[in-house]
Amino acid sequence: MAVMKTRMQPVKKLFQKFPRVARNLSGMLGKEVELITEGENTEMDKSLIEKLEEPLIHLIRNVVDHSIEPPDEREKLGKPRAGQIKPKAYYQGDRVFISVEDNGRSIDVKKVKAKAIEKGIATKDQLEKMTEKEILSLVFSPGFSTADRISEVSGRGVVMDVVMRFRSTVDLFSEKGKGTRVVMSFLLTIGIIKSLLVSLGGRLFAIPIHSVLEIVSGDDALISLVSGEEVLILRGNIIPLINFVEVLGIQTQKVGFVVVVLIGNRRVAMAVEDMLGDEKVVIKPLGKFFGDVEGISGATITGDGSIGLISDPVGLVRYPKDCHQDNKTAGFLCGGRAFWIASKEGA
Amino acid sequence: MEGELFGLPLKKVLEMLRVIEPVPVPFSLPLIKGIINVRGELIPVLDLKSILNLRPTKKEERIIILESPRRKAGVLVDDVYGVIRLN
Repeated sequence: MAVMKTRMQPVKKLFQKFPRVARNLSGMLGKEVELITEGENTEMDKSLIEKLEEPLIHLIRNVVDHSIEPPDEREKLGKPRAGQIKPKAYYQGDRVFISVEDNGRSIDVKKVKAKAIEKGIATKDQLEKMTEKEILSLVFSPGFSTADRISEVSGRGVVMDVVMRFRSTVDLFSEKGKGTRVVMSFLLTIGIIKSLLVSLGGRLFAIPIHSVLEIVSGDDALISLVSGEEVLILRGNIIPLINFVEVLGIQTQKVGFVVVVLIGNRRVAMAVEDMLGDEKVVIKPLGKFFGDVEGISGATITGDGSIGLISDPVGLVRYPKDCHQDNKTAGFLCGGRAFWIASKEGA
Repeated sequence: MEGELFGLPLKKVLEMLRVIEPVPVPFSLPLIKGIINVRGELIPVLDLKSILNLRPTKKEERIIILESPRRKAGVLVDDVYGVIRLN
């Protein structure tokens, strides 16, 4: 336990460096910036905190430099003179999220497109098939460098380095004239999570309880087919059902219960065979032999000595359905979400 | 295994266990049977027969836990006969 305590540290250590960075740079550029941090006591792996320091500072610098407009311009736009930057950390399920939000300019999709073609990150044909979100996520490609100072999206490639090394995701949201939000999520690799133990195909699985919204008895659950996909109809809402055969290769025998989990702002249902109660479980990594298994964040040993696999609802949903591999970065782009397969240790 | 004798360097052998049914992990290599709980430690179990291209006919009776400097793994074997010194 004590070891775990020292390995988990609050992100305060990381966040407390931001004000200085923002102040220095904004002073130099004649901009006004207000920094509002949230969730400073959220704990995460110490090694991850250390590795995130540089990319996040870089990100903050970029926001001040490119996203926040000069005070006069802001005033003309009807925004307060001081731009806001909001770094925030929070838990969801078995993940830690770090987001940086600002209320400056948005990222221009057209510019990203032009730049991507110019730098050879994507071809015109590829770009045409991409959604706006997918195009925005190109910003994180390593080739998208600081070289061109005019670009307002330059230099965020450093973030990707870390994302590539850890099992994480990066999302970029940008609303015209309203600012940009970068959301990173990292899998908790150590620690204790409270989870719901369920059985699937006779195997034990743990679902992080933070993400469980509600549980419906299998007899009452209304499951039907919508365009070939199974969905749960709950009080008039249609909730997609995770197909375990497809995602985990597990054939379930019956539907005992349906667990509705919340991922971001999406609801997803998981049909499980049985429910075995809740337990605080210690996450143990699967180890090097397995590399990264999408949808499984680790394993645990329950009170009676049996092994349960900890499901990662985010990973389950992210399971590549409409993904195409990005050869340049050896990663995937899935529905506008870039994610990378971390290189297997020792390989 | 399957009527043939194999030797494992004793230095690498950590312990031997009676077979515990490994818990399969989705999407792992077919050579990996799953993970087992050895006194609170999760150890992957490898299917040695398929690594050595042996046709499995018998049910394995033992798991031998092997250790290398960086990792531990169990291998499934039919039976264990003893220790011999090879010169």
